[in-house]
Amino acid sequence: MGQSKVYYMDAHSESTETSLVSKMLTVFDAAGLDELVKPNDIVAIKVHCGEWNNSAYLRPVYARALADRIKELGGRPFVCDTTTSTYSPWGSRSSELDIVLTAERNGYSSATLGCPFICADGFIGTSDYRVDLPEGYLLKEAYVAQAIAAADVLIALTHFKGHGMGVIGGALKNLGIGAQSKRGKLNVHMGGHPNYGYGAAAKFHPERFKGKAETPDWEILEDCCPFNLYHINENDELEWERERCATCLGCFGVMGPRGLAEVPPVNFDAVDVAIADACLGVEKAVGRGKVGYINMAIDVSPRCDCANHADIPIVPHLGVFASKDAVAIDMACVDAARQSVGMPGSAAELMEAHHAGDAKFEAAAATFHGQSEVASINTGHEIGLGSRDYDLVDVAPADGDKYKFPYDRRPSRQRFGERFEKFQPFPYDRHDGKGFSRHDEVDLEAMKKHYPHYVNGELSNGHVEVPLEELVPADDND
Amino acid sequence: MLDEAIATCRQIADGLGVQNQAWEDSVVEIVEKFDEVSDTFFFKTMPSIPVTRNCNRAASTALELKSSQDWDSFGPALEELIANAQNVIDKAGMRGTTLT
Repeated sequence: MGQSKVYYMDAHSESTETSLVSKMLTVFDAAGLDELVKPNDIVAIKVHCGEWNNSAYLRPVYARALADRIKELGGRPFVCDTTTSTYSPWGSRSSELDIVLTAERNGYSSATLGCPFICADGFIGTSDYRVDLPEGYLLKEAYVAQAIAAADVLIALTHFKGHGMGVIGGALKNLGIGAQSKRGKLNVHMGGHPNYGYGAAAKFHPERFKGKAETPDWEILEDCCPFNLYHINENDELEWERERCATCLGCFGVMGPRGLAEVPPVNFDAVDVAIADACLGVEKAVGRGKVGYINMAIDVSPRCDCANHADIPIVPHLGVFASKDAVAIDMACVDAARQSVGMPGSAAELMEAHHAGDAKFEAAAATFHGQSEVASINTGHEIGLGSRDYDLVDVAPADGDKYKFPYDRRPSRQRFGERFEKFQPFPYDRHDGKGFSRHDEVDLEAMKKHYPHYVNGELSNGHVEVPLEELVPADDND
Repeated sequence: MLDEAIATCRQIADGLGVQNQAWEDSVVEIVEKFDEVSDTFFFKTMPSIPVTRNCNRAASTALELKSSQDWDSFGPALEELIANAQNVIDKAGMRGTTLT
């Protein structure tokens, strides 16, 4: 496969046309993703709506602005996510009921998006479309969420960040996991696989179970598995029907900390490879050439938006990327993160992988040593999903007029002149025309100084002294 | 990496009671606690690295001070080691740690 084009704008913003929302729309058009949408096309916008209490997921305004653009093009957009695997006993997105409630709390609703928010794989997560993958590196079939498979066009609007299992959470994972039904996720996570599945490869230590009497919360050992595969028998022994394990991951966080089971790193490596296969499955379901990718490489948290928290970003905002190639766009984002310095105080710095050139996701996002931030990318390249070789195209900002408030584009006097005459907000008739009761003059400079103050009972300057001359603008000679 | 911390702490504890029995007892307790949690899955994961590395560094500092018999500095260094060791033990329980 030849070189792909990745369209890019950096994350600096100092005007309406350089706002990240405007940049997202600008790269969407520059990459030719607008040309994918024909009148009356049903267009799925796949987002990650964020787990309960996550705060790094994409603000809904990006999906809203994209949906508005698709409507301009004559398309019928919907924004969607899918039910998750039951990877935590207390996950907030494992059914349609739960994910819609979580999405609404996180700001994703028809009211905010201007189009429906859909759980794309149905109430439980079994609404899907099977795709054969003879070209897959590991998977030979994929189960794509039905609403996505039924769409005419798919735009993967991805928050690019790290992931404990995938190492990176980019475009490939947004579709390779996020566009799979729950059934599809069990496939990608290697459920039932004879070598890479959790049931096959995990180390199980039932001998470490100390019995119900010494395990006050023993019930969670059984309750963490929705397939009912853990049992404490009449002899007070912990049993696991590992041969039936679906690798839903629900027991990870329960058994691991108690020393009762160990997650096999090979499972994670296999999943990272399978993600690219499954992404190809999505492209085949929708139609090759009918899928566009936007990566918002901002708030690059080390863990995925599927975590119930969000840590300090490991790098500063990297920018906005768009492409028709899932492999190239993720490669471009990984390269950008690698070239960047790490964020002070972040997991990258804690891992001492905050220097330009460090593989930051492998250090700060991966669960195990040896996981690769390019495994999914390399697999996607290998199977012909896309190319890790790319041309990075710098995109210039579009005309700012394009991104102004669209509902009334008249300037202020035309919009407010008559109304202000009727409902005058400035009381010209009071205080000799000055309008309000105020001192004529006060010591403004006194309020601008940094004063010593007490912090935890100790006197502190509260700031680091910076020579003032360094802060004076060059032409400020007054 | 935790094995390294345990080994360093054992060297620190060895004969430390001659100088101060309470110090030796503290370090022996660290070794015992580390032995208890050493099989924990947490230490097979990347998130274990920062806290364990900090603990290793604190242990190395304390060992150097013991070797040079700089007892005025050893006390504060031991406090630092105890704080870091407590952090390791707390994290080993993985409360609040999300893998995926």
